[in-house]
Amino acid sequence: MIALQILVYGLVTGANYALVAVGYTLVYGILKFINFTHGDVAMVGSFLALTAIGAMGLGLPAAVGVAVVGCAILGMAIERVAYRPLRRAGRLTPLLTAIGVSLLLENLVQLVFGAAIRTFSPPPYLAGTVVVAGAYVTGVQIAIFAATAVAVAVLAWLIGRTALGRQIRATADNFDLAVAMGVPTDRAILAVFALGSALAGLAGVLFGMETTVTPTMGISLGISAFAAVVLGGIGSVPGAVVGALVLGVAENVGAWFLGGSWSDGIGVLVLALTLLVRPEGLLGRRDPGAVKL
Amino acid sequence: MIADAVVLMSVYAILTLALNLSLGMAGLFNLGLAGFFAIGAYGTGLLAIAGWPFPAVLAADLVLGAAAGLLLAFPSLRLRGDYLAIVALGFGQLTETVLNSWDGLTGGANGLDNIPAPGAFAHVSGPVGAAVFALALLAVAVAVTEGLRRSPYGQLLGAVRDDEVLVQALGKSPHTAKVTALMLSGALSALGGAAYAYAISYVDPGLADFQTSVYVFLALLFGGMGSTWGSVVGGAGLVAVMEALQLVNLPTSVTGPAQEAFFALSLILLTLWRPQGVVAPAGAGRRAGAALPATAAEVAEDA
Repeated sequence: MIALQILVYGLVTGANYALVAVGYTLVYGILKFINFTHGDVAMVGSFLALTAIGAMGLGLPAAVGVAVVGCAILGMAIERVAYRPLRRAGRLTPLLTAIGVSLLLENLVQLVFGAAIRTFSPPPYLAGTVVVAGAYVTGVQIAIFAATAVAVAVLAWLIGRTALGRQIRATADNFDLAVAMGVPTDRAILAVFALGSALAGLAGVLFGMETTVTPTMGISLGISAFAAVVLGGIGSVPGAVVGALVLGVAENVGAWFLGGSWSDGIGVLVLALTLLVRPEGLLGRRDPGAVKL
Repeated sequence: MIADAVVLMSVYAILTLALNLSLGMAGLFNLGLAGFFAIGAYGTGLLAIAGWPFPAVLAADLVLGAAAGLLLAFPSLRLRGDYLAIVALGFGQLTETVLNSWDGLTGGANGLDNIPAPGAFAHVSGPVGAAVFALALLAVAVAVTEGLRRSPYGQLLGAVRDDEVLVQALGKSPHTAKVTALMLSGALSALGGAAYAYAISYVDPGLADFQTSVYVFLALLFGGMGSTWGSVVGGAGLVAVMEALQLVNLPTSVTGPAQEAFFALSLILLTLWRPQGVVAPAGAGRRAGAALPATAAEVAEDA
């Protein structure tokens, strides 16, 4: 039943990527901009939760709350300070501040917490294991599936059914027209950063419970999640989830055959192959990243 | 001490020139620069240890860097600019993964040790010889990039950066110009790798680190995009600041991250407040915040 076990691990990895991927795709949908700091925001979420559990003595649900709220604030601050002043300065200029913020977050966390590898110990109520058709599924993994499903459902409701969601969709659809119609576009953009970063914070905690946490984990997490976004079709939330699950399984299958140290490389290869073969992704309608030539 | 600093200054100046070729001249956001650098350094190390003579190693290294540039160009250059940025970042990470994991070839995390010095410079022994060697390669890099900048090809790259559609309307291929620019940038980064590997005689997978690329972006931004001598001053100045920070007496667990945080913050503040650069400000007529102008295609698309 090794194939089924790898599938379980793949889907768990994928569920985690999905939470990060959704944030990429939302920001890309509204600003047509790859938010390079996103993986590092998830990393900060991990460390916020570690601090909440370790130094503040909170339980896991409260720690998740700290990470989610903390990351939402961090995401909005990054947008306000590093991206908004450059919104009219060309598409590549905000990438410069983005890589600066990325390296800054990594090193501030390292200054505060040190470079050591850290782990979460799951609370007793998640310590059990169930056997599904011969494959072992841990309580933590069930929690990851459940949290991801709930978070994506809440997000879909927010975007699809609320006034804020309508403003976000209007801004993403046609920025200048939205401005002309009096849509508070700055607030819609800020909301997208808050939502995406909150999910990244959640992902950081869940990811930390399943693997390990280091200050430099953000880059590889970010690249894998972005590969998932492109695979699914950039700008599409369902696409991000599907792409993440497929990539999660692909990485775990690859790691089984090649060895665990290669799993980071699989995300890069999937990204390159998708861009070569089908740049609009699995669920994308037309290729949004193509230069009109 | 000073000779070591000269080696590092030359290496960073070469890398900044390489980034200037792709980002400054052609507008290509080559965030995988450290990957090319590491490929060049490892290529030099492996071939020199295998006993190849210096000219053959250098030639092979330049071909290797250009080939890596071509490899990166395939999936990314038909798409908009920010796709290149993230694919290039992934390429750098992949390079580090391969160098760390392919133990049989690269020595894994331990890297390659005892890389022999090139024969032509053996008569100037020790650190001074290494510094002279690195400076000689820097001189080559300066001559090549300045020559390219003044050539019709350099003009073409500038036109591709500023208005791709116009270039195509004039019957030139922006795609060919971008692919060759990435290949040349890859070859120059590999030259920086050769300078490093020969002069330091030790390479490890950390050379491909994301942080190296960010440092070079800072050096280019400080020097001023598009300027050859600005790139040299920016790259050398960066190393001078690094060396100065070494003199501050703090434990290494603090100085490493503190230095990286300082440079990261400098990059953010420069981009926000002085995007045209400090040493040789880019395009005096451009409005603030437009060191990387939106292309006409982007403007049309945004409208």
